[in-house]
Amino acid sequence: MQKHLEQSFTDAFDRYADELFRHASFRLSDRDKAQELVQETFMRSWNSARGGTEIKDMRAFLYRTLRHLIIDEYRRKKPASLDAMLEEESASDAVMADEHDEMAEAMDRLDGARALALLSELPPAYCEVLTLRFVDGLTPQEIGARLDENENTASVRIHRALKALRKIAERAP
Amino acid sequence: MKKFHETLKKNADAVRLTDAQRARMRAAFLMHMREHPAAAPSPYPFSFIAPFSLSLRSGIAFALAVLVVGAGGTAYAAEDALPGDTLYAVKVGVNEPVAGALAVTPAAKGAWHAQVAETRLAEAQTLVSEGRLTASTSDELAADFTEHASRVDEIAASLQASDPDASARLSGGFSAALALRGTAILRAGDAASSTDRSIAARLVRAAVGTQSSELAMSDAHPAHAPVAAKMMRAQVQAPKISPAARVSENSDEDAADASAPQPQAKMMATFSAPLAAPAATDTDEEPQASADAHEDGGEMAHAAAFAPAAFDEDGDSDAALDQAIGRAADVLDDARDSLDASTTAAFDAKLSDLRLVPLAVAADAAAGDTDSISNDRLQGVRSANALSASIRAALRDDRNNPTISAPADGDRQP
Repeated sequence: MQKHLEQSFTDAFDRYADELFRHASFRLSDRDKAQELVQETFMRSWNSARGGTEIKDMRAFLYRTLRHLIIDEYRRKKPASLDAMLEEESASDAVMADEHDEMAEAMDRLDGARALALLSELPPAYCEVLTLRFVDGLTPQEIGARLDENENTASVRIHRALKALRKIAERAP
Repeated sequence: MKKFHETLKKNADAVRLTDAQRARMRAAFLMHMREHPAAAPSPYPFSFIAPFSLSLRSGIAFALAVLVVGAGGTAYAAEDALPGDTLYAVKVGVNEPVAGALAVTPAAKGAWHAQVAETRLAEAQTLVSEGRLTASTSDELAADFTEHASRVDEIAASLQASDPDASARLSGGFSAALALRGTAILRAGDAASSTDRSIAARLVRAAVGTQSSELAMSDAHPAHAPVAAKMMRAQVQAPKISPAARVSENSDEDAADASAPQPQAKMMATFSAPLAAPAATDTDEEPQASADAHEDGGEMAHAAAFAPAAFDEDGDSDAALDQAIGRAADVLDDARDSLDASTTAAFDAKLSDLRLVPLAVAADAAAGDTDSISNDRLQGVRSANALSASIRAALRDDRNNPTISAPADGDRQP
């Protein structure tokens, strides 16, 4: 069984190491740290599996493990901000249609490379949804599932995150 | 919004692990899995992995494997056997060949050989940590290791033309695994008695030596790497003093004087300069070397300036080695965007090999073998510089032949 389990994890490494690394890079803006966390992600997932945890969807499991490690990392650096961020918003916020269009136009004027560099300056929860949306290419619905939130909450958070990103981009030289 | 999405995605996709980074992580992860094996046989929990493909050959091998595993779990129990155990013969004589038969493609065969070679080192590591590694067991393990390691090299070399990425992945991953294992064995040896320590050091030396020494001149003589390695050893022991060396000795009189109390250091200072510079004493390399000197005038001067001082004392010469390897890594990083993926991967694999050299030095130090320490350092510095030079050469070719690089770029983004 060791062989089978090992094989499935080796396959998972070959398939997902790059995208996990990419995700972590944009969340942390520190490639060495990102590499370390991806390594840790695989080791921890292996430890769970060998202890008997049944893994149904390997990719989702890896992402969840990585997410916990990233949150730990944030907590170590700035204790309060993440929890404060998560509580501050509620799903009842609606997005006005015209506001949405204006935002879309403004975003198109933004340089993609620069926008990426600014991601990690956003509050952690905003950085997370934008990474999931634009780097990993998930739909708001998938993001909701990933974060254990509903789709509406995810959309609202993405919208707010874009707004915040735009603010930073226009302020920075 | 669509445009924003697309440019963002395009930029983000460029962020990926380099082959060397991936190989290193992969090796470390594999090692972690071996060291923390699955607790108990559990039902196969993954549905998304395709079952064995049913080609006739692997089908037969699979049936054979089932038969073997079915034989009272003997083969399963043998997995962890060590030399001297009753089941060790089953492990080496049955389990491993069955796994080898399952490997069909050249890349899988290569990975299998790498795996077996690494297993020999893992066994040695366990024996060392238990204080049970005798000289004769060590020799047997080293012999089997060398056999499989040389097959890895052969397969990597034969893959070079058809699938450079797979070739680089194989040799890079293998080097990374060796580096990790080697370090672990030396660390285990540190805690053991001095006899065990020297046996462990000798084993690591044998393992790492087969890899890194072949790297040294593989650029100049790809077909005769092992012979070239021997030649170079001889060359280092009886160096020709080139004009460049004399110049460097004179111009660095102060540095040479400072090292005068240590005759060996002074000798090093005398001939480390031509070795450290991309220019080699080898006639085959001379045109390349002078071209480098012209194009990159500062390089010679830089190498000559740092080399004599660098070999003054033990600590510093390790620093010089690290510096040379670091420099090669920097040159490669700079070149990364300009070269096509397979060329970069090949250089990554070489760099990965190069990172074994400090380990070889550490093994020598643990064994108290001062002659080999100096040789390995010189070889390492020289290889690092040769690598830097070939990366620069590749960059030049790339610039001179845009027709070659254009399709390669296309390959990168299919």
